Amino acid sequence: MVVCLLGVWADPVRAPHEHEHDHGPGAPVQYFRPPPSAPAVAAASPAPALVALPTPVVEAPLAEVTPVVPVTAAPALVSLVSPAVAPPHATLKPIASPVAPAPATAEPFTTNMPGDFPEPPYPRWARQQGLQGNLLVLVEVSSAGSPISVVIRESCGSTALDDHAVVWVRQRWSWAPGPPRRFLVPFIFQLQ
Amino acid sequence: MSAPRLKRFNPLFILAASALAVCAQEKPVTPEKLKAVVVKGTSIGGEVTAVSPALTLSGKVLADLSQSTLGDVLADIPGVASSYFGPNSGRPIIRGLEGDRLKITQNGTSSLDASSASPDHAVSVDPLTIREVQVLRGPAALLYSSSIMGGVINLLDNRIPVERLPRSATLFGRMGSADGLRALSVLTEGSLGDFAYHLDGFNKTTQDLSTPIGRIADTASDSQGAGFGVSRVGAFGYVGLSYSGLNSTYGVTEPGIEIGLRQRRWDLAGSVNAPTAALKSISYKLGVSDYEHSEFAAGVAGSTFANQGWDGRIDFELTKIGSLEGVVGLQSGRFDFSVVGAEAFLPTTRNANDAVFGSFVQALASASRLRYGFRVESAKVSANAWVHEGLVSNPGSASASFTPASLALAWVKDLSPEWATTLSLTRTERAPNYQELFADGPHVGTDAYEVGDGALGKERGIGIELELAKTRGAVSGSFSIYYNRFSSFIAQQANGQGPDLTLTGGDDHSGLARFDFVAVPADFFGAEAKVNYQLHDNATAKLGLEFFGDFVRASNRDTSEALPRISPGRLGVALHGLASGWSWRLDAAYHLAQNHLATTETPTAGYTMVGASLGHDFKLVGTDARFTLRLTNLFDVEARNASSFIKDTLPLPGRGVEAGLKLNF
Repeated sequence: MVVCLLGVWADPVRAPHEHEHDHGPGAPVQYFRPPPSAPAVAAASPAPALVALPTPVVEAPLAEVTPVVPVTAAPALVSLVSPAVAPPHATLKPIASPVAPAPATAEPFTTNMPGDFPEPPYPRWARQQGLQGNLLVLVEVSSAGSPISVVIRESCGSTALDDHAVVWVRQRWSWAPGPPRRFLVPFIFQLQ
Repeated sequence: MSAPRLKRFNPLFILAASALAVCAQEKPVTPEKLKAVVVKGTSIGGEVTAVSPALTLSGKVLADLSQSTLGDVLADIPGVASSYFGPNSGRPIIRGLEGDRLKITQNGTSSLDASSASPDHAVSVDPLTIREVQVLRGPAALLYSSSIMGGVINLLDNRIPVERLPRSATLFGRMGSADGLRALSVLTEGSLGDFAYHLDGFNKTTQDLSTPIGRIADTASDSQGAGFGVSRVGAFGYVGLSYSGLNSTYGVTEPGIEIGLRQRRWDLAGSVNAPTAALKSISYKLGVSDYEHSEFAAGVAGSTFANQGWDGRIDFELTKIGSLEGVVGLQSGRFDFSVVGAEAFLPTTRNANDAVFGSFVQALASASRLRYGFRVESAKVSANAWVHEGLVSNPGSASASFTPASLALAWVKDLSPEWATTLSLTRTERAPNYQELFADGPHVGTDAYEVGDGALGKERGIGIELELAKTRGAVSGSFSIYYNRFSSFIAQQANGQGPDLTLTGGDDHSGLARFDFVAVPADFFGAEAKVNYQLHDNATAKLGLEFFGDFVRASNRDTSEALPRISPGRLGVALHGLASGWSWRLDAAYHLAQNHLATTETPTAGYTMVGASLGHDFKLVGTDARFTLRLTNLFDVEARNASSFIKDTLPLPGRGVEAGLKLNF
């Protein structure tokens, strides 16, 4: 808990109350596969409720496989596929994906949403320290199209790299005007 | 080298999030998931650009090497030795080349200290603030110097942030037994709006060095340094300013002699992204420095060396045209070097250097690429009229001008996804420096009477190198072999004893050996190898076995006599691993004896050094902490460094323990 509190202290954008916004029915609790060695569930013995949650553990080899999300608005954002669901206690081995994963390329991030979504750079300090990882950002967009709040839903393990993505989205991304919307944006920072 | 993979999940967070999920029964709008934004980056050292360094140290690798001098930081790399002038002053030597032949730059501009003039003058850089050490070779090195046979060392710090920096505060304390080290450094960085800032400071003291033959007097030191920088960063690029200072007092083993060093430096740097279609970026840098050091004899300033100057550069990074990428630019620098005091061995000089350079990489068919570069300089050294100890060294002001031109070409062929080979050809020219041209007097640092030659021409050489590297797989490593042939190499040649100037009112220097700067034809050849067998490799447990070695021979081609102070080579083996969160390394290196000697040089015996190190990352009251422990010279071997000027009086440090604790808030 100390860790969490410090994380909050170190990063004002990570307001804890923001987390409760996005756990509607069917909303994914986790997007990226937890590390195979992390006994996350076993360690959390005081919370048996966790086991009962329909936590989709999805093997996303190159993050092209997305867990099920009810499509509410804005169709044709992503092609959704049936998730390969594994029980939380199952050994987290790669699960064959129902669709062939497209190779992750260095092509810029594209979407057919109207707006401006420049891809963030890979910061030099992160490359110097060899930081990489996957993170998930929740963005609330105003009717004017600007991000009202940008928070981390899943951390990549480095607060600094999380913040880099959050600040980038908040400062550089803009949507076309429309109704207030919310988006989950996965970021994959990969060194080669 | 595989980058450490971060843990992607905090179990506590899942727990908290899941608990919240149970409470939050309804939501107005379910967020839509967008396609993943894949941000691909090249690991530091893995870039293939016109300016990519041959070798880069950064992150944990560099942090674990947190040594006291730059020479020691790099000394483990095959091909690199340290000039080792006591525990406080050590400049790297690459492939037998040192001093002005091995340029050390700070963020791309000259460090503007006096370290190239004499081995006892410390490089004015605190190894703790350095984020990245680049060793550049071949065409990329021409960006910084025209003398590139050994390469160029470029040190990067974050004093002028080039991008938004994550908020961080680091406290680093170290203690050592062999040199009585007590060091504390602080560093804080972060961003406020469009501004990024950096602040660092350190205090370090050492006691007289403990060696197997006892404590060596007059080797203690006391240093303080600080730096502050701020820049505005944005989509346009960045522009920033920094100020830094260093004060250091240290002994150089001479009884009663102490050096007091002081440097203050302003830096301006900036970059503009894509100013026109033809350019990827324009970046500019300017460093203005005021450096001086005094050699105190029994507390009284004997002579004072001052270096006041500036160095600026502008780099144009060209937009890729077809398969060609490149950087072209201009560099310009001026400095006044003066020596005041009884032991002056140099006149005051004004030094000017202007350069135009370019470095390119072009992808060819069949998985190969060509790198090439050029650098043309205009160098001028002007010396004031100079009379000292009744000796008229310069009756009137004198000056010498040179136009060195250097070229480098390297052909890189990827033999397979794992193997690559590089063939490099280099032609370098270097203008003689103020010391080689105008020295005439007793030099306390080298304990010699040095005499320069105002009629010296350019130093000239050609070099060829073949490298074979395996970059991936359980077995990785590289092997290279080189031959550097100088038609004119400026060497210090023994020439009897110093003059007796008592008749003209000076001192008697006949007790000092006299060394003249002369141009000789010289050959350098050698080989370097490093092989790592990764026996076991996963995220939590690693085990590897490493073999490394280097060898260099340098001789005067006319006389077949060896050139002085060459570390002949070594063979080493290291076992390293990671287990239960502890990283460790055990290494042993056999350093060859040096029996190929210059006139008046003494032989150096071979020796074996064994060392061990240990590192552990943990949480200390919720703070990221790293503990390091290093054991050096485990068997307390009496060892002499062949490339040190003072090896006969100062052996390498004896058995020692050094412990460090780093806290990241």
